[in-house]
Parts: sequence; structure tokens; C-alpha cells
Amino acid sequence: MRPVTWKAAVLLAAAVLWPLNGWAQDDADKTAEGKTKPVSFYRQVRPILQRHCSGCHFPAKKSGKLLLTSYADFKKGGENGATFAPGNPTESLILDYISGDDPAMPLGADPLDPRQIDVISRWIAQGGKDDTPPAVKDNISAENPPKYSLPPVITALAYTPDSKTLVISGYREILLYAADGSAPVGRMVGRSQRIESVAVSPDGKLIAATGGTPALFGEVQFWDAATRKLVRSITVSYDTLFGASFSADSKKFAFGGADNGVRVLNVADGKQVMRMDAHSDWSFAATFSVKGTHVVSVSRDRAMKLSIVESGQFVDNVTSITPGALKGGLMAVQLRPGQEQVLTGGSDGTPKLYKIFRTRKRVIGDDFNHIRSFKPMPGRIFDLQFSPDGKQFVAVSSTGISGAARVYSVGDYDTPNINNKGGLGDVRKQIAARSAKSRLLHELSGIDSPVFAVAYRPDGQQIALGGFDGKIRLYDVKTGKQVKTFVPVKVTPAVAATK
Amino acid sequence: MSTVSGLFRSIPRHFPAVLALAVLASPALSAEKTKPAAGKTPAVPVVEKLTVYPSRLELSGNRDSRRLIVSGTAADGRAFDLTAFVKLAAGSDHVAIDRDGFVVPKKAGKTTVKVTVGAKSVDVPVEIKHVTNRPVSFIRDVIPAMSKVGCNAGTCHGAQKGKRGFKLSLRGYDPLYDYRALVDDLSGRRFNRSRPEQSLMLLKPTQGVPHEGGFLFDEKSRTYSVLKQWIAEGCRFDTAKRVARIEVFPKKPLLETTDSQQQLIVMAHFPDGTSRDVTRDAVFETSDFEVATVSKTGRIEAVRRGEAAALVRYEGLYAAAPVAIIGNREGFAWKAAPERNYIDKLVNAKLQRMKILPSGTCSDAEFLRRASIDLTGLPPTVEQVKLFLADKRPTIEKRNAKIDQLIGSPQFIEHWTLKWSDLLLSNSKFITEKGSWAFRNWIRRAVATNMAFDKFVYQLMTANGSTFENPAANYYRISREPKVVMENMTQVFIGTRFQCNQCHDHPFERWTQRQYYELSAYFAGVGRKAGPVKGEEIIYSLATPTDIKHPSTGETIPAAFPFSSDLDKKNPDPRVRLADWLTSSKNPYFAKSIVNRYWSYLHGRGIIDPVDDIRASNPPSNPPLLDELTRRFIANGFDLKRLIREMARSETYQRSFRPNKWNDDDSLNFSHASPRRLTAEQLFDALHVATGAPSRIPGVPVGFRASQIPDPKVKIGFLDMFGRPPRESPCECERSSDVSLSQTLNMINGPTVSDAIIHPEGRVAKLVAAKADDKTIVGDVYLAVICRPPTEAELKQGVAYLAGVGNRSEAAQDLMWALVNSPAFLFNR
Repeated sequence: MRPVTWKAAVLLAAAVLWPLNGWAQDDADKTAEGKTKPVSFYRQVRPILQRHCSGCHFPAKKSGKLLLTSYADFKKGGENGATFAPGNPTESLILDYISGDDPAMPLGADPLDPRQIDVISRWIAQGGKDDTPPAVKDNISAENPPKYSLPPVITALAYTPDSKTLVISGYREILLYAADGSAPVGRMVGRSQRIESVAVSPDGKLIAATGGTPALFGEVQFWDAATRKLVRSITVSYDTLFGASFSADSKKFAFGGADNGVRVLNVADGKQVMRMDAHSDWSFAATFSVKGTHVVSVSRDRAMKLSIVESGQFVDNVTSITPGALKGGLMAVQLRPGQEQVLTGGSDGTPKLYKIFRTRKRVIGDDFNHIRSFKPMPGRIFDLQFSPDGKQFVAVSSTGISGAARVYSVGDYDTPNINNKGGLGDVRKQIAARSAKSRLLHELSGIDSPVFAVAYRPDGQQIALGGFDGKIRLYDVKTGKQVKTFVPVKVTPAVAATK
Repeated sequence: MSTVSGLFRSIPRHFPAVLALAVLASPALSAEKTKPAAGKTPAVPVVEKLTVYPSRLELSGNRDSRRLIVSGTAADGRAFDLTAFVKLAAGSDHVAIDRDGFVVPKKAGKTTVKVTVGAKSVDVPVEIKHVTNRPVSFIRDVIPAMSKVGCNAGTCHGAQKGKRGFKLSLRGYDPLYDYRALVDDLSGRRFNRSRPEQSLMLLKPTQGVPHEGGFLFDEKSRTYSVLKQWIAEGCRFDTAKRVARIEVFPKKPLLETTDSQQQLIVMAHFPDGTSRDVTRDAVFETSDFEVATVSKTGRIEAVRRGEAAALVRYEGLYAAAPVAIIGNREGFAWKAAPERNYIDKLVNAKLQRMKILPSGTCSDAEFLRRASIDLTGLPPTVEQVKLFLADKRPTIEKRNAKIDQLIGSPQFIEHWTLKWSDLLLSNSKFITEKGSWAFRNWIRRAVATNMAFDKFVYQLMTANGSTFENPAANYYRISREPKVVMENMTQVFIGTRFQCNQCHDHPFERWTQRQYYELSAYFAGVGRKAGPVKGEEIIYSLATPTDIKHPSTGETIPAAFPFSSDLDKKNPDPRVRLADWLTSSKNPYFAKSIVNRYWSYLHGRGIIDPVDDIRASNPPSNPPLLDELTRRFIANGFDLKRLIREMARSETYQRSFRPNKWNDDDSLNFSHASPRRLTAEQLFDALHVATGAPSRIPGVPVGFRASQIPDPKVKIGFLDMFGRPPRESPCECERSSDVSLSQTLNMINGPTVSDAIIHPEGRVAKLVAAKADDKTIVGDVYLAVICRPPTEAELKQGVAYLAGVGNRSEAAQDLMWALVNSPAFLFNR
């Protein structure tokens, strides 16, 4: 084998130090002469601020009149004056705030790691210079909203309960559009680059989003649907969050995340009321049971898990490794309106309907809760949604270079009537027999690009979908015909980029 | 790493000022990681003439770029690569020289590039056809860029489970998979079309966000610009044909001194007939870093005299340039060595190039023992040695006659039957004891009749029926799963290790994971059922073959050949199709691999070695030799006896094992014979031939040779200790040639050896009983054990020893024991 390289050494060092960002690369920063390279604002200091500070100090919130989202704002400081004195760590306000036995900042969170403080201190000592490459500077705010040289990928869609507004994910913002696609009606600019999921509370008062900036932080945003002002931003973990879902009474909010955890928040105060860590890979979606007592979550680990909201206790694997699921796992789950049933879909492309609660004792490798599967979609299912009456659902998928969207009839399967009987093999046959009868209502036409998001309008008349190409496509539910296609942002092509 | 930081890291502390200046002045070096080794600082050689490759350039499109390599010829005719010392200057604004020293087109037209080293310079004509803006191609630009920085390496995201949820195909073998990973996974998390520079796939490697894999390139690097441009253009998947072939220049780098270096150029040729210089995106490795290193930018640097290969990987294609480092050979003068056939001509050509002088011809006694063991597995008897040494015919004539005699002997048949029983895993554990006898006898008949090798393999591949009545069918009884049959077939008959690509593409070859399943599918139709006779199995072809499924997509994989699919004769039976393809004289591996394997049986080392690991990154030490052996083998109708005869008749085979000053460091070029420890069976049999004791092996008649045992089930501690293979794997490595302490102790003090020496019907007992004189005893023991008469001194010493010990029988036994424990007995040399 080849000799161990410095890169391997960095890998090892980084692996050990991983969860605390920003200074993990210190060991790599030795030059060939063994001298320590200057601390980089962009690569070392900024990630610390981004992770630990900008949840409060960002334009929509601006606590202490301090912004920590750009170098210029960081340097300018807030109501208490300049944040740091270049070349002089002891005179720098920030170090007063973050160091010591009981540091003032970060507010309501654990103190920074001493090594992180050291990075900031050394950077100030070295002059506190900005080395952010010009290309990556980010000056986006509500006053200076994102500009698009190409349409952004659509990752999330939802309708308001009055069926009047379509909520669409954008880059660094949530876009609001008239439900018929006629005109944009609002933009809500936040700090998360990615909006992974959007949901509107059943009472229509809040628009929620989960997302974050990859590899930096995850965020839940609650926006007032009427005023379009940010009500609350909650930073969670070091990477994006997924799968926004309100309980039927609009009081609780569930989501998954890149730290594998499934969480439930109190909508009123943003406090976390449940955290379940039984998934062994990223959790992509969560949905409440009819009464809101339980949460069903799905994950890249291929499992569908049931937890109790009140205690946070993991109850059961609805399926431990969902039969047929391929690597990539399950990506979507939704409660069937009014029924203790969930529909799930993922990398194997097959929508599957499950009972939430067991009526038979669990056996290793069983699939007793499985009601039926539906005809597989091409590629991987990214999203699915029931019609308001729960009799139909729409699922969308991607093959990587194209996509599909289909409307299925759920079939007459109410929980009390379905009981899989006999041994594992018998159960398999019963499921297969029911699955064979699954009925496709519409293959939605005109799709030539991966589809990542779908929404069923609450009045049951229209379906909206979007994905890789950044176009929103609207379909009439009755006919399955496409009624409108539009790009929800203004696109200003960049000057033909050259090398 | 072609980055600015790479430059800072690269300048060594004690680099002489002059050269440091040269480094800074020379764009060709700016991105190099220069070796700071003290005392090895290469001075610019004084040269008479500069030669530039390519001698003229043609560039087309804004993404084209070409590297030049410059060679200088000294007054004595030796050539040195000067690329590292070159100054390049564009003749006009039609081209520019970039920071890696590549010529890049700026506008259409004709111009020159001035290449200067010291006082010498050359103008290279350049034609720029056009500078049209070609969009970045995912397949041609993005994947190679990611491969070069290592994103998809086996230790990073190319690992079987990826890293932190992001998995790429190993080294980019599956573009669609990678496209899905980058674009489709997590709804486009990894790119940001609205703000390309905010794309996770750019922020991670530039450490804009924490990245466990560390900092890989900066925002000014070429890699960054390629990836960013691709995102800005909308992350398009394209169906560009992947590269068809790569070529390395110079083809056979020869470095005159251990200070020399040589820059490589890698050209990629595409199916549409276009070519690109991909030196910057190719990944370089050395086969032996003790001989030469190869930098990330493709510069070979000599370490010591010897041979290595510069291994080049680009987009799943592999090429190897054999590197020869001559070093200091002052005083060397080539002397014409005897050439008895084409083998010697081709071997000597290589020796001459490497400035190696071969050893002389071995003695008649050495020849006799070596050839007897190699060809028949047995040493010659005392009588055979005496007869051969007394034969007054000219050396070549009598040796040739001996070779013919050995090849025609019954021992030859036993010996080669054993070899094939090993390789085909004839083992009663799999095929019952009766089956192992039947299979052995089938192999034995094939050897005895010298069945053409292609026919032999064809019969195995297409075998059907009762494993007792048609023993060849045991092939499918031994390996019972399509994948296992395929793995064994490829390893034994095309000398490649397909098992590597079961889980991912082959890491050192172009074989893909998909090909593993495609090739396995030919064996998916093999049916097996119990026969009417107890223990019998019937092999037949299923009407509907079982499905071979891809492990990650679940897709049913149809049968297809990994190469040379034009050899398919489309027979309806998939196994017949496979046999037609495999045994075709046009199959590029089939004949070559067996020829190479047989060569190793006579020389202890293949021309490609290991013999069952043929791949681009394991190049032959003498390609023309292997090609010519293969060509003749095919032309002669796959005649194995003839192949053995040609090899054994060569001077190359008959060289002494004693090296000289000019070949003692050579282990690759067959300039001297290489002593090999006798294999387990050879040792056991040789021991009984030498001592005259009858061998007693449980389960077979007295006097049965170890090599005649049909099955490894017969437990004989001695054989297992000396590395008899258990016949469970088709790897040549299953037969161990290791030397261990327990072997030594057993030879010194073990019952097998001592029982044979003191056996009452043995040689010593008979000599003593016949009251032979001391000289006869010593002479005979020498002839019997090490197959040559004692020298005068040895004879005198032996006689004195016999006289000195009261008990003649014990004294003679001691003498024999001493010789049995000498290298002259333990080794075939």
C-alpha cells in the first residue's frame, strides 16, 4: 500500500473532532514548515457564528441589533458596540460574551467549546481579516431578496386550508402564489438556504417550514400566514430538517432531521416536547396519528417507527426494514385523513399503505400492519399526499433524469376490517392479493423532469407538483389534465458564464 | 493538487536558489509537489538537442488544453526529460500558457509556442481550429474532476456505504448513479442552481462548510470552475460517450539515472474519434514506490535502479507504462548470449535494454534435476543421472532429447494431472470420493492424450449428464452457484479476479459490478439433480434459467460478455455461448493466461505475476515475449506439450541459478534461474526417490506417489505442512510455497524424513548390505539426493566421515540426512 498521506491524517483528526465545527481542521493547517497557517474567517470563524449565533442575530430577528450573517455586519457590531478589536482579543467584546465560567452567549445554549473560542481569539489576534471568497458572499435579506439566474429546484409545496394560496419552497425564502397560478402574492425571506418542507397549520394561522443550510444548521420557521412575518425561528442540530407536519388541532408540530432525530414542538412556544432517536439514519418525514397522541416517522434507514408524543417513547417498528425498500429508505409518510393508517413511499418506488397500530403480536421480520401496496412508480418516490377525503392519493417520483406523478385509488380498506392472518408466508400472500387489485386513476401527463413535491388542494379540485426543473405544474383532479405550468420566480439569466 | 496552496506547500526548504528560480519561472512546475530529497537535486543535464512531444499541437474548443513534454539528447545519446525545466512562451495571443503549464486556446488561428531550456529552444507549431464554448459535460468533465480530487475514492464517498449519507460509485464507474447522488438525492440538496457558489458540492471540498474529508481545492482551481460551471449550466445529465481508450506517452519511459524524471501525458480517445489531453484529470500511481514514484501531475521520479509501472487511471480505464530506471551501469558491456529459439531472442532484447547480463548455461546435472522436477514432479534416479552425464552427444541435442523423453513419460502425466486437479478443485468433499477418482481420471486422460487446451476447457464448460459417467460435469458439482462458477472460471481460464467486482467495480481494472452479474448469468441455467446411482448427480440445462439480480437495483441482469462480445456465436444454450467465447483463439485473455501460467510453472514467476491476477495495472515484464508465446500457442492448436517443450528448450530456461555482477538484482527478466522450494508432493516424492524407501500413504497402495493422491481428504501431515492446497479456492496462491520453522524442524527431526532414511529396504540399507565401498556409498548418496556426483573435495570429506564413525550404516544415514537438509535437495534450482 501507499504511505499514509497528510490527507489521511486530516481525515483521522477530523473524524475525532467532528461534531464541533470550525476548528476541526486545525491540524491540517500546518504548512510544510510546521508553522500554523492564519486562522480563516471564512473557513473557521464563520461556521461557528453560523451554527451558534446567527439563529438570533440574523436580519429577521436582529437580537441586540447585531447581525452575524456577514463579515461586515459582524465587524460593525450591535447596540453594545464593535464586536471585536482587530489584533486585540482582550479588548474584544465577543470574547467577553462567549468565554468565562458562565458566558452570556450563546443565550440559552451550551457555552462554546474552548477550542472554538481559541479559534476566534487567534483570528482576532491575527488582525480579524475577512478572507471570504468574493463569489460566496451572501447579502440576502427581505430588502434584498434572492435573485435567480435559473429557477430553483422545488422541494416543497402546500396549500393554505382556504385553497387560495400555494406555498412554494424557494432559495432562502418561501414563495406564496395564488392557488390558480395566476400571480405571486408574497415572499418570506429567512436564513435557511433550503426549505425542505412546508406545511400550513390546519387552522390556517401559521405557515411552517423545515430546512436549514446544509452542513451548518437546521431550522424550523413559523410565519404568520396573515402578516407574513416570522413568528419564530428555531435552530435545531447541525444540518437540515425535513418533513413538516402539524397535528390536527394545530398545537403540535413534528419533523425529522439529518441528525436522525424525530422531534415534536409545541407550536405556541416553540418548546420541544418530544425527541425520538431510534432511527439509525436521517429521518425524512413524520406524521401524527388521528388524535395526535402518536407520531409515525420514516427514515433513510428503511424503517417506519411509531412513538408516543407525550413521553417521547419509541413504541414499535411499524416495519423495521420495510419489505422491498432499497438503499435510500423511505422518504415520505402521510396520515390517511380520519383513519389510523399511513401511506409511505421511498426509494423502491412502491407506495404502501399501513395500519399504524398493531392488532397482532409482533414477530421478527413480520409485515402484519401492511394493508396493501400500489403499482410501483418509476424511480424513487419523493412525496405523496392524500385527497382531503382520503379516498385517493397522489405520489410523485424521480428516476434521476425524469419523473412521474400518479393518482391512485386507495380502495376500500378501513382499519378494523383488515387483519392479516396466519404465518409470515400467508400474510405475504394476503398482502399480494390486495395489492394486485390496486387501481391507478391518472398518470399525470407532461412530466419530463424529476418531481420532488406535491400538494393536494384542500377543496379536492387541483394538484400542484414541482421538482428539478423548477416549474410548478397544476392538474385538474377529475380529468388528470394539466391546467397550468409556471416558474414561481423571476428568472434573470446570468451573463453567459465562461470559464 | 493544482492549487495555490499546493504551490506554497511544494517549495522545499533547502532547494538550491537557482532551481527555485527555475521553479517559479516555469509554469510547468508551479503545481508540482517537488521532492526535496537531499543530494538528489537534479541538475539540468547538458543536452545537444531538444525534442518536443507532440511536435505540433492542434487545439479545438474552449475547454481543450495540451501539455508538452520535452526531451533532451546528450552527446552520448542518452535522453533526459526536461519538461520540469522548460520555459514556455506563447508566440501570440492565440494561445495562453496556464498555471499548470498547459497550452490553452484563446482564438482560432495558427501560432507557435516557444519551448526553451537554457540556451536551446524549439518552436512548436500550434493550430487552433476553433474556440467554441462547449458546455461542461457531466460524464466527460465533472466525473473526471471528482475522481481526480478523490471524492469517489474507496476511502471516501466511493466506499460501499458512502460517507455520511453521500455515496458515489467507486471511482465514478456509474455516471447515472453519481448524477442521481448529486442532483436527485434529497431533492437536490447538493447543488444550488440559483447560487452555484452556494452549492454544497462546492462548499464541502473548499471547506466553506465543515467537511470531514478536509479541504480539497480552492475557489480558483480548475476543479472548482468545472463543477461550478456545470451547476450554472443547470446540472445537466448528458449522454456523452465515455472515453473508449487511454494512451500514455511516452509508452515505455526509460530513465537513465536515479536522478531522472519523466513527465507523462495521458490522451483519452473518444468513440467519436476525438481525443483530449487528460493528464490533469488522470490519477497516477506507481506499482513500486521503492523504484519510482509518480506525482499527482504525472511525473515519474526515479528512486533506484529497477523496473516499475506507472499506473494511470482515467474514468474506469487503466493503462500502465513500464518504467525502466537504468542507474549507474558503468563498465557494463552487452555480451551476446546464446539464443536457441524465439524465447531467448525476446528475453535477451529486454536484458540488453535494461543492461543486464544473463547467467551462463546450467550444468547437465542441474538441467536434468530441474527439468525432471518441473516436467514430471520427480527428481531423476541415480541411474538416470549417470546415464545422462555419460551421454556424449552435444549438450543441446541430449538436453532436447531428455525434454522429449520427460514429456512423454507417465510421470509427466501424473504431475500435470495433479496441477489440473488442484486448479479444478477436485475434492471429495464436493463430489464424493468416487467422483474425485472419476474427475481425476478424466483429467488424466486429457493430459495423457494431450487434449488441445481449448477443447479441454470447452468440454468442462459445456459438460452435462451424470457426474460419474461424464466426469467433466463435476465442474458444476464443485461450484454450485452461478456467481461462484463464474469467479472460478475467470480466475483459472482468463487469469482475472472477477470476485473483486461483485460489490463494486474492480478497483484496478475496467471490470464493472454489472459485468460480474452479466457474466454470472451464463451459468444461471445449470440444473443439478440427484441421479439414479447413490452419490451421483446429473448436470443439465434448465429450460428457464434462474434470475441473476443486481444487488442494489434489484434489476434482472441478462447474460453479456465483459469484452470481445463479437466472439459470441449466439448458441441458444448460454453455456455453449460462454464456451465459444471463452475458448476462442481471439479471446484476448484465454490463451495468454494459460501460457503465462505455464511459464510460471517453469520459472517460478509469470511474465505477468501473480498469474491469476491479470489486469492493466499489473503489466507483463516482457510483453513481446508473452505475445509471441501466445501467438504460437494458438497457431499450434493450443498444444500444451509443445508449449512446455519450447519453453524447456530455451537457453532462458536452462540458465544457471547463480547470478553475476550484472544480474544479481534482477528478479523480473529471467536472466538467471530462480531456486524454488519443492512443493509438498515433490518433496515427499523426491524424499522417497532419494532414500529408496517405499512411500506409504493411507488409502492408496504402497509406492503410490504423493502427486497421485486424487483428493486432499487423505490427510498427510507432512504434505499439509509443506503447503499442499486444500482445493477450495482456484487461486494459485492456495498452494503455499512459504518456508516455516516447523518445516525446518520436521526435515531435521521428523519421522517422515528419518523413517525414509533408515528404512530397511532403503538405499543406505541396501548399499551397506551389499558391502559397497565408501566411495560408492558417498557417490551414490550424492547422486540420489542432489542428483549429481560429489566433487573431489566432497568425496574426500564423505569418505573421511564414513571412516570416522564406527557404524557404517549410521554414518551413511547421517550423510544422507545432511544432504536431504541442504538447499540442493530442498530447492529446485
